[in-house]
Amino acid sequence: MAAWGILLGCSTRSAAPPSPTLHTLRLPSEDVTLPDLPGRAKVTSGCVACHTPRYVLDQPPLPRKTWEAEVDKMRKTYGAPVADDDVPALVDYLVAVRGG
Amino acid sequence: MAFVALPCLATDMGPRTDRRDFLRLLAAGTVAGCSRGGKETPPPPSNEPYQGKIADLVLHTERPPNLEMPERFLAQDFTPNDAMFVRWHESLLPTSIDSATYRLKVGGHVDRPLELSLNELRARFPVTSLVAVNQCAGNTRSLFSPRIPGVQWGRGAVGNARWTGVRLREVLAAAGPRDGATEVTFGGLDRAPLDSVPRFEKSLTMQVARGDEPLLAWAMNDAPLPMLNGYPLRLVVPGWYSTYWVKALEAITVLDHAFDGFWMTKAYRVPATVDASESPEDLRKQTVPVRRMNVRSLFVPPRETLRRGAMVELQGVAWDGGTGIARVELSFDGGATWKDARLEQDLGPFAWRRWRAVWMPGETGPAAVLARATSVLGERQESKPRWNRSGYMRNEPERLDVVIT
Repeated sequence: MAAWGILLGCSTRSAAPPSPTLHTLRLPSEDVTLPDLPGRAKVTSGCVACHTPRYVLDQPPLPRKTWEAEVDKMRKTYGAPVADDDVPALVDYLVAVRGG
Repeated sequence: MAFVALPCLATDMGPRTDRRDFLRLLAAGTVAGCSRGGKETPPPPSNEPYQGKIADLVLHTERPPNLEMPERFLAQDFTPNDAMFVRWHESLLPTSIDSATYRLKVGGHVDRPLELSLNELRARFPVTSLVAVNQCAGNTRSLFSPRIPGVQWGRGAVGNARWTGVRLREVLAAAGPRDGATEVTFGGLDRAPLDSVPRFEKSLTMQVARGDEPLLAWAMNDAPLPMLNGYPLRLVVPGWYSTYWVKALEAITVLDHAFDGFWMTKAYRVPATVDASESPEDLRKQTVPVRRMNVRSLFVPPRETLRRGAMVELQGVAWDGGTGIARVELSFDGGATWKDARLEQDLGPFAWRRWRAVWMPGETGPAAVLARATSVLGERQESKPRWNRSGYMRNEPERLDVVIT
């Protein structure tokens, strides 16, 4: 994060008063704790780059087949960084957290 | 050179974000206009209200933000700006926009590409307002059975507001679409953190884009669009699901062919059947994009205790895809018979219409009330169960379950 701040030149901006035409948005920090079950690290590494893990917690219990299809969509359509070998453990985790 | 307002990284992305993607963002334009100040000011704590929003918006996801309006606001003609639901697809929202340097780009298959400031939009084109329902295609997804993955909206991914701006067709005319102009695409300032995610972009046919209603809007209920609802400018397509209402508009591009982007050809599609319905065991091969809204009504959840022999007022809202509401009926006997509710003020064919009905429950215990709306065109909500794999366009008559004491 520190590197991005420097690249954006943010540290130099704090000296000048903010422009009256500048509209800013502050978003709250993300504070999600997934259940500590086997495979949680697969979600952290493969999914969190794009979105909050709260997407998982927002779901109702879903059949395994549905979770498999979701993971497939995330990988094939959106390019989620999940290796082939990691898919079974990831699906197992999602079913453990929101399976039914 | 016009500034490009860069989407600033909204939250701590961690080490997984592709550096190549990040450098691509920098290369897209000047860095100016992208002040984050995140180094000095930590983000608000996660339990604070979202900027410009009430504290009890229902949190589905925070990154990207998907926040739902509490149902009590269905009792109001106009949804307050701080209660209007929030829905973004991709997590890099614009977090810093300079209204003085912002430019809307209009280009592609046109004679005169334009770069318009907000002041130019206001000065060059007639300003107009229209009241319209803003409803997510996936509103009430959580009510489908069997359940469908996605944002688990209840009944609050919908709101009604007055939208102010200029007509899309006027801006297009100024750019001069050339012969063969077929469709026009709309892209916003938001981005995904990975290059592999298709950029959120929607299209309209030229015929639809040249219609009376589509607006480039800068105001919601006579105030500037909240950042979370698309400041500085969004497309408004009255009567159509709000997937088309692209927020934080950056570029309008006229094409001489049909747009083949992911968010039109793969996402936001329903079975090509009369009722946009299929079964999980028999998914339809042919699909069409969601477009115009179907007719619908919702209850305002009653706040008072319902007693046998005491009059209670039921109320709610109804709307359709732009012809208006002709009647709303309630059934207290499971659909055997229906009684008309009273319709309240007509705010226009694209707005929702509030309705009221008085009821005196005759028995104690659990009871159910059904509501169904009929549009001016004659479209009526039907009780036949419908389903589609993405959970779009739900409009079965609502059932209010109560307990009479």
